[in-house]
Order: sequence, then C-alpha cells, then structure tokens
Amino acid sequence: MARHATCMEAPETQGVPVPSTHRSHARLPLLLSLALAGCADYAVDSASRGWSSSAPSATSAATSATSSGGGSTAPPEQEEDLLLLPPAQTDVYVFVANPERNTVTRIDVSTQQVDTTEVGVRPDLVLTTDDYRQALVLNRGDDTVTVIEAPTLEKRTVPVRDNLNNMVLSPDGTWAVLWHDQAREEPDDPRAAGLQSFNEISFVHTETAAHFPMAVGPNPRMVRFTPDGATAVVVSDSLLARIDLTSLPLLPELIELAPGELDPPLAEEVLVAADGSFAWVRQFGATELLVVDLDSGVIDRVPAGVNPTDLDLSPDGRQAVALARGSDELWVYDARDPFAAPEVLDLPQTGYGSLLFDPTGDQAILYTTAARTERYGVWDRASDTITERSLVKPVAGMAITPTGGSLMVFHTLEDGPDTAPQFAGRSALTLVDLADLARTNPLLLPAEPLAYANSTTGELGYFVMDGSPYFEVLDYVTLLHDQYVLPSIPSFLGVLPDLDPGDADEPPAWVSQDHPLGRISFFDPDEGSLETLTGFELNSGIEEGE
Amino acid sequence: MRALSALTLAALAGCGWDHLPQQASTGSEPLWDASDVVPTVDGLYVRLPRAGALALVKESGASRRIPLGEGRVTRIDAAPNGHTVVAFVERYRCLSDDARVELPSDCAKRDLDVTTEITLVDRGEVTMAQPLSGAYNELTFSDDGRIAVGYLDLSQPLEVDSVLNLTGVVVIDLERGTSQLVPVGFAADHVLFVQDEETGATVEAVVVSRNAVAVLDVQDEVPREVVTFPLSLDPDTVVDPVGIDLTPDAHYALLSARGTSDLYALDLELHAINIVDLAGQPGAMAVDGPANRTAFVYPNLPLVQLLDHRFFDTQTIALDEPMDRIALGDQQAVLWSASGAHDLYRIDTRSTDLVEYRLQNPATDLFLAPTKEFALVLTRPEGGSGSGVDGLYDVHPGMEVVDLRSERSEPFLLEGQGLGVAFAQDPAGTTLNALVLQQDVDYLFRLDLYTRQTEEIPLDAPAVRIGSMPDGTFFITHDRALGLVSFLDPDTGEVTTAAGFAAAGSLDLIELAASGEEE
Repeated sequence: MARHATCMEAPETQGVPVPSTHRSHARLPLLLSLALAGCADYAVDSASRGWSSSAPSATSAATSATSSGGGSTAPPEQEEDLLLLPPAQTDVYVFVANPERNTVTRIDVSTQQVDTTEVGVRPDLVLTTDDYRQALVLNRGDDTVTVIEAPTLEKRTVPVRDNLNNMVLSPDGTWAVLWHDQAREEPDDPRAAGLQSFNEISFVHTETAAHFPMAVGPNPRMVRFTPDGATAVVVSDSLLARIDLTSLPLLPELIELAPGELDPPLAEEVLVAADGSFAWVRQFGATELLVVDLDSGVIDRVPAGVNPTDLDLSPDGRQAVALARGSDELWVYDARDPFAAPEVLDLPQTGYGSLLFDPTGDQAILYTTAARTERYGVWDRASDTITERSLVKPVAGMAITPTGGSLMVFHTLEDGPDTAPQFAGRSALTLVDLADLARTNPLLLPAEPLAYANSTTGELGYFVMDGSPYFEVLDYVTLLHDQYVLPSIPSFLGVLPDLDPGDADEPPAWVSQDHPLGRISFFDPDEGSLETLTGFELNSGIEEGE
Repeated sequence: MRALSALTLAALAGCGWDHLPQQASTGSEPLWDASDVVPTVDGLYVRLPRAGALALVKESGASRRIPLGEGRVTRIDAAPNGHTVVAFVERYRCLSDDARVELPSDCAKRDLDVTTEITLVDRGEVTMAQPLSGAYNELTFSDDGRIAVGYLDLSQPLEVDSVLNLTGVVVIDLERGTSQLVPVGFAADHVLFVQDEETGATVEAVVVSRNAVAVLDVQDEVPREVVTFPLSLDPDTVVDPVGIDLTPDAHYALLSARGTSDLYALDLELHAINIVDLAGQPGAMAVDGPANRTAFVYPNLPLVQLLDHRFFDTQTIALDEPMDRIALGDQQAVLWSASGAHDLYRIDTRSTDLVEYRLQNPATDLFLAPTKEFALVLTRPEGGSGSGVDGLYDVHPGMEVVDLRSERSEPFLLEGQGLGVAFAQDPAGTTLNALVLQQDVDYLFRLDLYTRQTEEIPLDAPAVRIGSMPDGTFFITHDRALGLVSFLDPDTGEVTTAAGFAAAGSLDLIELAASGEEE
C-alpha cells in the first residue's frame, strides 16, 4: 500500500565551526514562563502557510542590513508555525473544523466514532479548554464564536467583533481572546464589509458566553497571559494592553511603548515573566528590548544588538535569547535577572534572524525566512560554536522533532542563488539528523505542505500537502518516508491522544478531507493502515427512536 | 442449514440482493397459475386465478380447495418455516341495495367496495386473517418465519383500495397474528432482518426507503423504531437505494444507491454512517461471511472489488469483461454476466486468486450445486452465422458445466431453452445430479456431475417450473389448463402426477362477500 515518493540526495557541504566571541552587557532580572512561550510542546518554529511570500536574496538582505545599520529594511522573520495546528482535543474527543460545510466534527478517541454539529459560517479554528469540557470555534464567515460542550455537543453562539482571525484561550480556559492577526491572513479571505478596524479584539467568557470587545492598539500581534490567568497582555504595533481578567467589565489599560516617538519601531513579540510582574517586548528594527513593568507600566530598555528579530527562552527557562539579525549576534540574558550583563555571541555574517531551540536545550538552530538563504547554523551551547550547513533551497520554516533528534526544514517555493538544480521551482522538505548533520534527506514534494503533526513518541511525523491527495509519514529516526493515497484532498491533520501511554502503541493520526458529507482518515502507525470514514455529516441527521 | 445429502433447489438460492422476487401478475385469469406455486410440507399450494381460490395439491395426486371465503386470492407467498402460506385475499361488497347483484361484476363500479385481507394458511387451515391494504404488494419474511413486512413495490401497479400511507410498512407478527403500520420513510422497498446471535430469533427489521433507512425493533407486539439513518441531508437530493445487505455479524448494513458509486455502510450498533467509494455503481454484490468481505461487480467496468468489513478498504481485481451477477460458493465467488458477456470468473475471496472461464454462448442463468463444486450455466443462442461447432452453438440454447475445482468447463447443447435447474445428491455423496428443465420439452434431463451419466426422464407435458418440496421431492408444473403437476422422487426416479385440480375453478365464480365476512 505504501509508496515511496521521489527522494533526492542533498548537496553535501562541510560544516564550518565558527568560534563565537563573548561580550558582556548589563542588567535585567527576569524569569520567563516556558509554558507561555508559544508552542513549546512541539519545539517548533516555522514560517507562515504562504510559502511564496517574497523574500530578498541572501545577498541583498545582507546588503540592506548593513546599509540600514539595523537590517530593518528586510522583512520580519516569519516565526509563527501555522502548519502545526493547535490540537483541539480532549482526553475523549478531538474536534475538527469543516469550513466548507459550516460544521465541526467530534471524534471519539477510543471508538473513533464521528459526530458532527452545525456551527457558524466558515469555522476556521477550534480550541479546547484544558479541563476538556468545552471546544471553542471561531467562525470567520459570520464573526461568531461557538462554545460547544464537548460531551453533549450543546452549543452557544457568541457574536464577536468583525474580521477577527485568531483565537487563544487563557491558561484556565475561562477566556477566549480573538484578534485580527496579519500573519493568518489568507489570499482568499473575504473582503470585510463596511467599516473596518485594526485595533479591536474580543474577549469571550467561556462559561457565561459574555462578550467584552475593546480597542487595544493598531494591529494586535500577540496575546499572552500571566501564569495565574489573571491578566492578559496584548501587544500591538505601538501599545501594550494589560487587561485584568478578574474585574468585570473587562477594560484595557494601555501602555505606550515608545512615548513621544512619532515613528517608533513596531512591536512584534511579547513574553511575560513567570511571576507575571513584567513583560519583554521585542520591536522590529530596534536595538533594544523593552522591559515593561506590568504593575506600574514603567518601561525599561536593555540592549539587544541591531534589529533583534527573534526572542526565545531556553527550554529550561533560565535564559532568554535575542537574535540580532542586523549585527549577526546572539544576546543571551539571564531570564531570572534580565538586567544582568548578557552574553553576546558573534555569528557568521549570514543574516540569521530566527532561533529554534531543540527540546534538550543542548543546541539551537539559526536560520532566516526573510532572505533566500540556503543555509542554516547550529549553535552548540556547550562550546558556543556555530556550525553552518547548506540546504537545497531557502527556508520557509523549521521544526525540531519532539525528541530533538531531527530537524525538519520546509523550503520556499522560490529558489535562492544556490538552490540545487533538482529542486528549482519545486516544493521541498528536508530532514536532518541533528546528531549527524551530514545525514540529510531532502524530499521533492508534489505540492506545498499544508499541515503536519508529530506522533506521540516523537519518532514519526505526518504531513499533507495543498491540493494533493497524499498522506506522508516521516520516520524521524531513519529520515525515510512512506506515502499513502487519500481518497480526497486533505484539509487538516492531527494525532489522537494516547489513551494508554503505558502500551507500546502509537495512537492514530487523523486527516480530514474535502467531501460534501465529511471525510476523515485514520492512520494506524503500528499497522501501517489507513482507515477512512466518509459521510459522517449524515450522523447529525440520525434520529434515535424513543 | 440444509444438509448436503438433501435435495436443494438452486433456483431459489440464486436470488441476490438486487434480484428481489417480483410479484406475479394476475394476468388474464387462467384456471391456475403454473408459475405461482408454493411448496410446503403439506403439499403444493396453487393459486386458481379464475376462481379466485387457493388449492393444495398433495404429492399423492390428491388436491383440495382451501376455504378462504368469497373473494379473490391475488397472490401467495411462502413463509420460511416450510408450512405456512401467506395469501392476499380481496373481498368484494356491493354497496347497492339491488337484490339482483350477486357477483362483483354485477355491481356498479362506484358501488363496489374492495378490501384486502392477509390470510395465513398453515397445514391447510386458515390460522389468521387481517385487513391490510392491497397496495402492500410485496412481503419479506424473517428467517425464523415469525415476522413479515409488507411494503409497496412501486415497480408494480398499485391497487389503491384505501387511504394509503406511502411512508409506511406493515409489520406482521405471524405468531401473534397481529399487524401494525409503521412509518419508516417514503417508498420503502427493501427489508432485511437482524437475528439474535445466540438464539437466532428475529430482533430487528431494517427497512430501506428513499433517502432513509429505518431500524425497527420487532420483538414486542408493537414494533418500535430504533433509529433512522438519513441518506442525504439535502432535500433536493434523492438517494434511491437499489441494494442492501448485512455484514455477517449484522454490525453494518451495506447499501448501494442508483446512479452513484457511494456505498453506505450503516453502523447498526453505534448508529453512525460511513460512505465507501466504489469504482462505480455496482451491478451486484455478495457478502461472504467466512471471508468477512463483500464482492462487487459492475455492469460497465471490467473489474471486481472486494470490500473488507473491518477497515472498509477495497481491493480491485481487473477482469477482461464486465460482470453483473455474483453467486457465492465456498470461499469463492462466481462472477458472471446476464448481459451478453462470454466470460465467467471464479475468485477466491480471501486470496483473490482469479480463474477465468469462457462460455460458448451468453448466460441466461447460473445455478451453483449444493456442494459448490460445480456451477451450471444456462445459455442462450447467439444467432451468429458461424460454421462448424461454433455455428452449432450459436443457434442452439445450451448449458455449461463449470468445474469450480479446476479450470475446466463443459458445454452441452439443449433441445429447448433451459428454464431451471435443480440438484440432487444421494446420502453417500457418490452422485450429484443436475435436473434440467427445458422450454417446450417433455422430459427432464438428468446429468450426474461426477460421472457425466445422463438420463431423460419423461414428463406428461412440457414444464413451466421446477422446484423442490421440503422433503426433497421435486415438483414440476406443466402448462396444462386444467392443472398438471409432476412429483419426482430423486432417489428412485419415480414420477407421480396430480392433474385436473384447476378444473373446478372453471365453474366457480368469484362472489361478493357475505355481510361482515370481511371483518
């Protein structure tokens, strides 16, 4: 049943360790929350779904970075991993949105029984609360949120502000926050009707379905919460909004990030300290990071090189690392003492703008999505050396497998100056053994990657491609892949929760597909079998007798 | 299960899911209907259309009328228990006060009141009679013979004698003698029964209608709807089922629909629906219990597909010609065509090993021997203009013996077009006789499939139909106006006849029911 797709050898290059230079700068006492640092569970860092977004060549990017003195004319890094969808699953059910049918599918994990329920128009995103009781659906077509009781499929619909396209839940699942995220814009998004604001967000109380809309600042970028869930922090271009979630009605308290500046650098990223007392804000094209006291609103600044384009926590949460693309430096801060002198490591003059830690924290990957650069670097944290490797194509996004053993490189469709001829103009994916960087497996793809997921053990990966009826299984250990034919075009992908972690079985992966009456396939990695359910939308019309 | 030593009527076993028996037409009122007979342990029940009556013809040659009262028996069906016959009886009353009116034909049409009664006849006696709309012109019985479901076969002319609920079926409990109208969906036309795995008792009826499938609990006196599965969510979309069958464990009902390659797999336990993409609209399907697979063939596609009941995966095997019929053997399916193809295939439903046979002429019917070692194929002349042996085959009806144990087949020329085949095997299993009935031929052709010994058994007249009685005796009905049935003892070859039993019908007119008789 399985068939092997085209697999091509990567052009080999020798790794070149580059000794780093250490310098010291001053201050900042901070402890940041690893749990709040994005998709930490998956150790991923990758680009947007729009692989064809234009990026300057490596040469021009480097030139402009130098000439601008901060590299800010190159576009920001695409850091959010939109290919790895957030899991919308409980201990019993998995929820999948069906945008074309205005329904949400609920899969019983133990029986794989499938039920559907109608929601709003064009459901786009489904999240589940941590207590497994509710699923929240963002319906982009009619600007509503559907709150679904997971066991019963009872629903409540809450109208929210127009044109919102992203949603997160507070840690305790009490609040859903929705905003318009430019990174999630799609070419086929419907044009907004009437007035349109780029400052508004919505808070929805998941228990009472109460809606609290508010204006927080231009182009909200990111929403974070304090670990206790009492405060939400929203960073927009020039403002930081602090919202006390314990006091109704919700009202934003706005903190101007660059008071008095007429054309301040745009804020891109915010991290909240573990104790919730302050937040770090990274601005594009700046030379400093902002440290915002969340109680007083006082803003401090710490140096961060030229144009820091990424800010991450180490997996152990002890260090915060900013990557200064304009000065090719890594700035390493003590997360518990952000005002302590940071270490600064000089990097090769490649223009790396994104940083990705492996789950162990022993090494981190350096790459850029802002330029068509066919190389990446590996920062060995024990020796502070940087080893560079070439790739067959420029990077659209990267993900480290959950075990930290392998690296998955998603390539842009566009070629770079050193693109391997076999991959020119084609979609590609490369698997890299992080223990032996010479061992790689670049794969020529028939279409652009659409979504991927990792198996529970982290030894397998699954991905599907846009408009292509294939289900690909990647073995992160052998770097080999198997291909299965789906009955129709895939939509979403995920892995069912492991109901019995003690057994040696991998839980199935699922992939939903286009079909007027609903279609989903389950892949059993232990048996290598693909089972497909079609027509489960009809289940909603089943009438039980009295 | 019937023992191999017993006589088996293969003609009945060939009725697949998509070849449901059709209701006989009452036609031009002959004295008897030689094709519409019901064998039971008590003898052969014969319908007498002109007299509107029912007769029981014994193997001894004796016959008698069954007292059903005044009216017309419009159809008869056999219950699976081997001794019960279900008769539909029309009762006529004239609402006119004219004392001269004695017959329905005397009554003005506007005054003629027609009601239909369903009557059970067991061992020659009426055991139950209940009013039932005559429009319910099709009956399906549960295997245990306890339940019958009457529904509307819209492919036949409907006799609308009362306000008719087109969404209902009538569930008849033959043991309790009760019937109940149950709404299930528009135009129900297929019924299956689910048996209890341990007791074998009928517990549920699966009723297929347009755009819906209803499951009824038929254990209690009043049938209860368990669940109804929709086949479409769009009111503008019509899903017209053409075939349905159950998986061996009765966990799933597999349903195909007209004009689509979708196969609906209805989970009768979890109440969920799955749709499997087949290669096209199947012409026939057959559920192979031991292999836990279902075979599909397609009238326009030269392939067979095997559907696994666990994952609902399909395995496709290419053929040289499209097939539209399936007969299930022992871990193998025989694929054949009634549409002019010359190929015939045997496929192992587990290993998918395929054997191709080539028939001299196109098949009209196929009968599997009870031992599943042979398939006997009746063929028709092709009307070709060839010479030699091919030309001979082209202009004659034929029969081919397909050895399912090997790759051999053996053609025979027949004197008349083959009408039916029955099989007989001696208790020791040393002989396996095929009895072949031919049109307008007054003998029965007997062929021992093991030894190829043949014999012509003379008949008093050309035959219409051959079948077997529950005791293994064969009955052969003949085209004789006053009635003629031959009974053949397969062990001795002795033939006895019953004749003239329809003669009384020529003098017996259908009369109006006495007041209150129809109640």
